[in-house]
Amino acid sequence: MRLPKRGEVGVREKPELHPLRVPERARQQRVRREYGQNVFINCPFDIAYSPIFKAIVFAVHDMGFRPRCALEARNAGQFRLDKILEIIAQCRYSIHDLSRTQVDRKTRLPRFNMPFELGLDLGCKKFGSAFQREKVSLILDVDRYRYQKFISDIAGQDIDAHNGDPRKVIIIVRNWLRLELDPLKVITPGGKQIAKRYDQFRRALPVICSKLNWDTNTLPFADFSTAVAIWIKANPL
Amino acid sequence: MSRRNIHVVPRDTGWALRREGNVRPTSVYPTQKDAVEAARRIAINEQSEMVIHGRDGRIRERDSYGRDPYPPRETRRVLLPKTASKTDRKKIEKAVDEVTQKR
Repeated sequence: MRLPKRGEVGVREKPELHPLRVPERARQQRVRREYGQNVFINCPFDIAYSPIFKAIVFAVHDMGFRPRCALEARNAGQFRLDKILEIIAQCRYSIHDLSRTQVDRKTRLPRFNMPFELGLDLGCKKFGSAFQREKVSLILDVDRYRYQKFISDIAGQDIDAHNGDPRKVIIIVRNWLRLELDPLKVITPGGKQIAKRYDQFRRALPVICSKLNWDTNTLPFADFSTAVAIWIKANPL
Repeated sequence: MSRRNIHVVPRDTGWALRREGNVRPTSVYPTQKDAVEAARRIAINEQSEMVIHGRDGRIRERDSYGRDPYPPRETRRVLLPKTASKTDRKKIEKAVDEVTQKR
């Protein structure tokens, strides 16, 4: 039997997309394509935590993924929560560090941002679209079982403890992301190798910063992340 | 289409192409280079594997043109951040290159 061609009776015409919606569709396609490459980093951004945060960013880059965090919002002129929700929706992977849940000495109050954003991420996984239900999370803390005293609702999840050691956090992040890559297709560095490369990068960073008139201590996330990516490209495995 | 591998094997009169499992050669060439070129064309066409033997008969090299069970592994990609740095990327690359070369 001959099948009717488009335009003949009985065939529904494919509706043409409004010209204004074409870039929106292209944007959505790009977001879907990049979804599996993005890693949302939900962690404290204070100076004391900075070595751990920078180590995580380096490990994520060196494993071939793209780190994303709330610090992107500073450049974007967008409400911080809206930006965080957008990033969560666009990242398949997320790293949540619950290290800073103790009471602050000055304010005598704990920081709630990290558990709150962990909740948003878990909510997105539970109630989001089909591909968002495949989200994968890594939860970190300084001690392995401390979370049971302040956020017992997530009991049963595997929590990794880094004890405030950048080397340890690199190995944890590497081993976690390694599970998501096909070992037959992609060559990835080992945890100790990434830690060694990170030490080399840390030694090179002040020189790179001085050449670019950047202040090493107040380096914005975009600059740091770009420098990491370019250094990794220039120093292949 | 046959997906049997094609072997380049030494013969008294030159180099022969022999299909895996066959005893008799498919064709004979005066030089190994000619035989390899012919074997490669066949392997590409049939999406199979070309196996080159040495004068001693041992396998010297093999090239796969089909469904390679062990494809070559790639190194991971390096992705730039979503929010671009305010500094020109080429300037950063130049600074990183200078530091890398110095090391």
